[in-house]
Amino acid sequence: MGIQFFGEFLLDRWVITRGQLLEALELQEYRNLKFGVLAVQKGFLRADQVEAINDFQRGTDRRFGDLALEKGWMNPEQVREIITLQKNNYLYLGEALLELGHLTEDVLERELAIFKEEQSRYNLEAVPVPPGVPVAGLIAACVDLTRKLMLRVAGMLAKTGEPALVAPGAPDVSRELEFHLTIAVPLGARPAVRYVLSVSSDVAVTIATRILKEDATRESEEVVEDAVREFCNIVCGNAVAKMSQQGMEVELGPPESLEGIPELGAGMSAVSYPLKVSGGEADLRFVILPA
Amino acid sequence: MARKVLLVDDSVAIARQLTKLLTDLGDYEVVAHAKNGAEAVKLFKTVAPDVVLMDIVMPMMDGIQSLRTLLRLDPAARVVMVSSLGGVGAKVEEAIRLGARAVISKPFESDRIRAVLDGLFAQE
Repeated sequence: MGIQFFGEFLLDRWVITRGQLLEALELQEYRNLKFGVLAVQKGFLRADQVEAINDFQRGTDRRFGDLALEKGWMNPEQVREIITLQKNNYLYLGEALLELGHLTEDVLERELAIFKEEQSRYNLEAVPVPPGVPVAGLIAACVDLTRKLMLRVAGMLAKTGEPALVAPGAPDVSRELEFHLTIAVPLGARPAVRYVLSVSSDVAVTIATRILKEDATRESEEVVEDAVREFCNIVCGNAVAKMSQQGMEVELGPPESLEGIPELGAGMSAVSYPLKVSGGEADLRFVILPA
Repeated sequence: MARKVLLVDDSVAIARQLTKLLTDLGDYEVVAHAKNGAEAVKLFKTVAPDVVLMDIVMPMMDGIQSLRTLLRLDPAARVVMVSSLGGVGAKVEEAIRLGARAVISKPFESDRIRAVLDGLFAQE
């Protein structure tokens, strides 16, 4: 299983019903007031300022409080006060289910332990991102999940090297290499980013073999390509889920096949990660589109 | 008798993977595969599946739209969403609110698929 939230996990295991989950989510929504709402209640911000920050924040990995500080609309003490208020009053899903009587404490404890154990395989490891690169958290999540899922889904060890920034027109050794397939996945963040994975024929066939659960060496090119596209979709989907858990909403676009590593247009930049895969050659990069 | 499954996913590779996983489970038989929501609605009427496994992100008519349509056709339809988005995010929550019975996240594990599907029928 990929990255899950606790409610889906409980639902999948039939520990709670769909109706009980919805009730608990509603209770959470009612109790866990957003930063902006609390700031208005306290008289620190006006509603139109909250709306402006929300608009700006969507698709970025910036926190509401940081943006309010940057705009000079709140002072550090006010931001700390709201964060403390949120932390002290936060109602977790498990607590909401307990309060509603849909779970007992011992069942919650047992399920939480299993859930944490299962999800620990998706705990993100540190990935270096060059300073000044936007949506660094999203890029780091994609890199780490590419390595983890390359092993889990395709059975291949994958390691990334030090990242390099690529500017339009600058020398780019990887673009001179010939890869069998290049797949791009649009990630609707601010700015928009494209996850671009290029793989050799050996890597593509290994991914397809593992996804199809049968030898893919004689499969049509279309099926192998579809399997690699799906692999990229799983990596990016799980990265989007991880970011959502951290409060950043990113729109996941459908994966598409490209004719090789794309050339950068005006205003674009890229972060390239050398990717060593046990079964062949690969290249991983993130193309950052103009804001 | 095996329970009839309608698969809805634009990826041929994922459809084949799921077909193999379900066939290996023994109690389920994939009777049809739709590549988008519009096809799913047509096939749903003709094959009358016991359960629909449907991707959330698809071209033409996505999983959320087709979930709405399927439940309008048959409010008792058992629809389980499959998604690379994990169980997190607005689309997944919307699917549950609309009436999806469960969400299975990718990559798949056959034990989890069995637990979800068996649980679905055991609940009735």
